[in-house]
Amino acid sequence: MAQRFTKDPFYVLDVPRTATKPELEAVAASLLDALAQGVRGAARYLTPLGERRRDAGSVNEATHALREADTRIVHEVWAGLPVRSRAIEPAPAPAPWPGGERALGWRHR
Amino acid sequence: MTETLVVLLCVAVCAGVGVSPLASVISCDPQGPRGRALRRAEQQFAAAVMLAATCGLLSLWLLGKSGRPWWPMLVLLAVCVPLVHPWLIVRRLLIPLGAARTAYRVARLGGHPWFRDPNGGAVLSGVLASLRRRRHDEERSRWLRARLEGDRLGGAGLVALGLLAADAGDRDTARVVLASLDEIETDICPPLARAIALDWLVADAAGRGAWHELVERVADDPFPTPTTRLVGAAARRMLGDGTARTTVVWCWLLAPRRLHTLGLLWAALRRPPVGVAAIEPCDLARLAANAAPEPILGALALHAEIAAQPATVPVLPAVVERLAAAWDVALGDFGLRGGVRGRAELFAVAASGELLIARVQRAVAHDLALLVAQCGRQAEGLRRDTGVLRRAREVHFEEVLEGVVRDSAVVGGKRDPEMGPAAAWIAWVRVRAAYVEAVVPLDVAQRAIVYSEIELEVRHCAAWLWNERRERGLAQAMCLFLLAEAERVRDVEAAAYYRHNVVVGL
Repeated sequence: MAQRFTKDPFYVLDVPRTATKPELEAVAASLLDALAQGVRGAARYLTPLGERRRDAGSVNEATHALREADTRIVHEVWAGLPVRSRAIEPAPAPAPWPGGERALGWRHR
Repeated sequence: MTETLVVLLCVAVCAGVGVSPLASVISCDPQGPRGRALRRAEQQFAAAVMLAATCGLLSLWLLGKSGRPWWPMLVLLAVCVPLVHPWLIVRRLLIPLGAARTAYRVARLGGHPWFRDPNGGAVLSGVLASLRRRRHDEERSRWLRARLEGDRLGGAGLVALGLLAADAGDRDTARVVLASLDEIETDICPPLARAIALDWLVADAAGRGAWHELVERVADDPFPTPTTRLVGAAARRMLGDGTARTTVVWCWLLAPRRLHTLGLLWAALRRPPVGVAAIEPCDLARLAANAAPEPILGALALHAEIAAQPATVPVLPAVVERLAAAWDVALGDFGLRGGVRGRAELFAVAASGELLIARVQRAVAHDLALLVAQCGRQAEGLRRDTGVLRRAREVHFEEVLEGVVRDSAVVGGKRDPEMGPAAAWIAWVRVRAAYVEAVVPLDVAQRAIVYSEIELEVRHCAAWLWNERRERGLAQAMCLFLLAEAERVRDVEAAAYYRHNVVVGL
């Protein structure tokens, strides 16, 4: 469910929804170059759920998805939210109790 | 003189037990599991009384004239009590020593607490001893499993089966088998077996961090042990339901292994109290999603907020309804539709703007179907049946139908003489769990279709267990479930069939 936002091609390529086809191809090519050279910051991108990691595979996948016009229009709808650098923090949940089984006498190994 | 009176009293009690039945034949079938359990209890009671009489006689005969007639009798009793109550030796000596085979053989002598399932109780004793060993021994596990096949499966046998699976590393099977104890009729399920199963399930859920599941499980149990009461109270407090610190401390003081559970107590105590929710769940669906300037932004913001939650946390039906309402508004918005249509014309795509909106709706419905599944049992509280939520129910139905059909075919395949009732029961409890989870948000018509898919296979399996394997308890549990479901989906013919089976089995 979160992938609708974190894997959306517009966020992965970091381009506006109004970008033209040549602009998309140019951004994808420059990202692939930067990833290949290990440019600092190229491996990270922002999404509405916070920062995520990108690699050459995800860049190619995003470029391919945006080449088809009807798929692109659907992604445009999903890419309507602004990005944020801090992830949305879920409500704090109690941590698991890994030693629970031993403490309650169910693990002796 | 006093001892003579004791002996005479014991003989009189024995005679009384012999001549008077403990239960009326009207309320209890003498050949049924309850009748057999009562008979075993009678025999143990009579044996205990006879033992007291024999010890009294012996002490009178040998040492009565010494002037200290009580001490020899008490010593003799202390030596002989384990003969009529072997569980004392098994629990205090053989299980801590890890002597699995000896524990099984001694526990097989019968007695409390396994009146309702003597063979299963003996195997469970062996399994508990086996769990104390430092290494898992496949040969020993196979030996114990073979002992289970020698008699009918009862509640204690099922617990043994589940713990053997856990010992072998198959924790999923252990979970479903131990949780299935709720379906077994109480006449063939010793209360101690139930308590052991709950203890294991609670420890397992705490280890996985499934605190919501743990709280639900402990709340459903009418007789929690001190341990489960402690872990349940600590879990409730950690989840912020307002359990007081003093309650947790009292539970900890009353529970065993206090030193080991100190960490849990500390985690529960330092959890800050959670205030009363500002918005009640019933009001949630009526609220606007952050008052966004465009409906689509409101729906997306809400969608992102819910997507950021971990999938293990249960979702409230009101949250799902609120998201569905936001999407209904967004997808019906003329601004969005016009914008999509304009982009479609700009790119000259074959698909129309309406078709592209339908694709977005399908994706939203798929996500909502996941949330509906995440609601668990609470999905019954979903009241809306319009727009995108209706579509989500359809998506959910299509997905679960395929899975349930596949699982029920596995139950049908377990009617193999070589597989045995244990394998059939494991397959059944898996199907049952999948079915219950799947049908909660469905309407009656959809539920009836899913029911008809599993009913035939499970009916054949129950008939096989009843007629060929004499596993009345397991078949009865299946029939009870199928009866309840037949009534729910208004399948009159099936309900009549299972009602007859259940009445015959009682």
